[in-house]
Amino acid sequence: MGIRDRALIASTGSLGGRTTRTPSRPSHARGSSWSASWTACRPRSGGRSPDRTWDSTGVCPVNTTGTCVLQAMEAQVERPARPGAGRPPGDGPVVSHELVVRGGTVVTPPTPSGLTSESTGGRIARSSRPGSGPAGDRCNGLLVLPAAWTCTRISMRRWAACGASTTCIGHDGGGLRRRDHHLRLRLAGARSDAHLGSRGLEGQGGGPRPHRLWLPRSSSATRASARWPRSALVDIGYPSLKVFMINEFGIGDDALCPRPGRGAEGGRGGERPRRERRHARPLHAHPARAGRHDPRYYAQSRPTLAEAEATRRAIDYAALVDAEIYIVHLSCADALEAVSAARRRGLRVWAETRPIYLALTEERLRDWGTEAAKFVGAPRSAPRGIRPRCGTDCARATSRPSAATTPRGRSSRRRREPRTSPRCRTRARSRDRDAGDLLRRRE
Amino acid sequence: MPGLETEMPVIYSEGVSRGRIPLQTFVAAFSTNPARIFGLYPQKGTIAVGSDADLVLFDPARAGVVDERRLHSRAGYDPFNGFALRGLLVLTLARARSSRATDNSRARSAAGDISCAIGATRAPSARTAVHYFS
Repeated sequence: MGIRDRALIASTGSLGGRTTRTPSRPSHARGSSWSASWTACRPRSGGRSPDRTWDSTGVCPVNTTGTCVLQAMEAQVERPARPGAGRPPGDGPVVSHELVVRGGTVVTPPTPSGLTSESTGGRIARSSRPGSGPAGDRCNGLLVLPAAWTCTRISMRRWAACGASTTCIGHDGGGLRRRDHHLRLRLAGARSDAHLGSRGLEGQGGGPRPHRLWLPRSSSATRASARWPRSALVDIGYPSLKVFMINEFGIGDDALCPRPGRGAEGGRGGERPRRERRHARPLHAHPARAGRHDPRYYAQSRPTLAEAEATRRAIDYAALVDAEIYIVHLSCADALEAVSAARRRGLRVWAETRPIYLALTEERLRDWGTEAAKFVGAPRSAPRGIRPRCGTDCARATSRPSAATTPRGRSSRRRREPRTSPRCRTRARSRDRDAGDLLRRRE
Repeated sequence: MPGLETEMPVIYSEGVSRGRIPLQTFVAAFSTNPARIFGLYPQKGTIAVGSDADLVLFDPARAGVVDERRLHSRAGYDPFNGFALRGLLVLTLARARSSRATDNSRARSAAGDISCAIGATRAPSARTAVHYFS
């Protein structure tokens, strides 16, 4: 039996009250000493300690506290009985649970068939259906949900605060080229984990690391051209590639079309294009040049028509090459209708939105002034006052020595450069100037 | 990245609590559907035997007003600051391993000493353990 480190989720039964000093001793653990079992609570070998308390003491904390919402029991380990521990050698595995959730209501989609108990760590050993038994004790009234996902590079503490256990990480093109070899090594090591990266890039110690999906991301569409070792990236585990539909670098339809194709050939998911800047940039130039940086002008410069058109184009690109497409940050009904229409046609199209768009209303943009930029999600960098911290960050960034590096080796000056830095403002002015010229030519 | 931490209670409050979406849809949107799209279902996105023990304990009865000063985000603001929401994320687990408690008071009432139960290295600070409701 190759079971290790599983969790038991039991919405039935109860913990037994606060007087419980030790968890119930599993029948299959008879003959083994408790001390040995508590020692088994220590993190799995071969990795960094996810819990320094456990690592330092080697004793399960529940043994000292008595009760807990998650009855952290001894780890579920397969180990031969030690001589002198009350078990004859070769008496089979000692199976117990490192985590028991009692009470609460388990909310999950229907259980898929064919699931088996594999010998990987941190998996669920047993689960009961909602409402199939009496209410629990310590988790009574709580919902037990599968953890969520986040789609950004955030620290461990923050993904936990978001309720997420899986993060999708993007890489800029330059960093990807520099770290390509390094990433190959990382992903090769994580291949056994269903193309998930289990090691965070942020190098933070303590606590469990989230599962991470590495997605290449480029702020420059030109970097996403043939210089990327696309097929090799797919081979080593990239599930999809993101394409930004931007007009800053003159990327046309012909340049965008082959990209979903290569992604589809890789057979790992689909593309994730988005961004209607290509269409919105000329519209945005007018209010910017007129000094209208209020968020309401920002919204006016990005009409729903532009987003819907960009969504339709992205879907068409994917359909041309028979690729899947995943559209992020959908913010209007017109774009949603484009997605719905594509799905009705049988295309493999998905979309997601952001919760802040629920509160992005015309009334709020009109009445809240610059505060309404919080609901835009990507407030323009130019207007001062929208993000009062930008000035502080800019000063901090410019005073930072250029040789300083982050733990990941990237130059902190570049990484921390705010969008309001002089260089960024110059680029923004250049883009606005180009867009303004384009608009004038069209007029 | 503002808004991430309040994402779950916002959707629960505006969606589930107001009867706009069922609880199953809420779970599907946050966990199951992303797992399916990225080809990781049923290893992720469900609570079933054999799946990864990535769990969230969510308190649907907890209500309060969002206080952006209590959030973990470095953004410094949150669009839902001052919003009255219902639902609080209590604890996150990744592969049955401990994580951080965001509602320490609720966790303490249920667990006695959640900081010890989840293996915190020290007493949770106000920044890491206090929930985002004021």
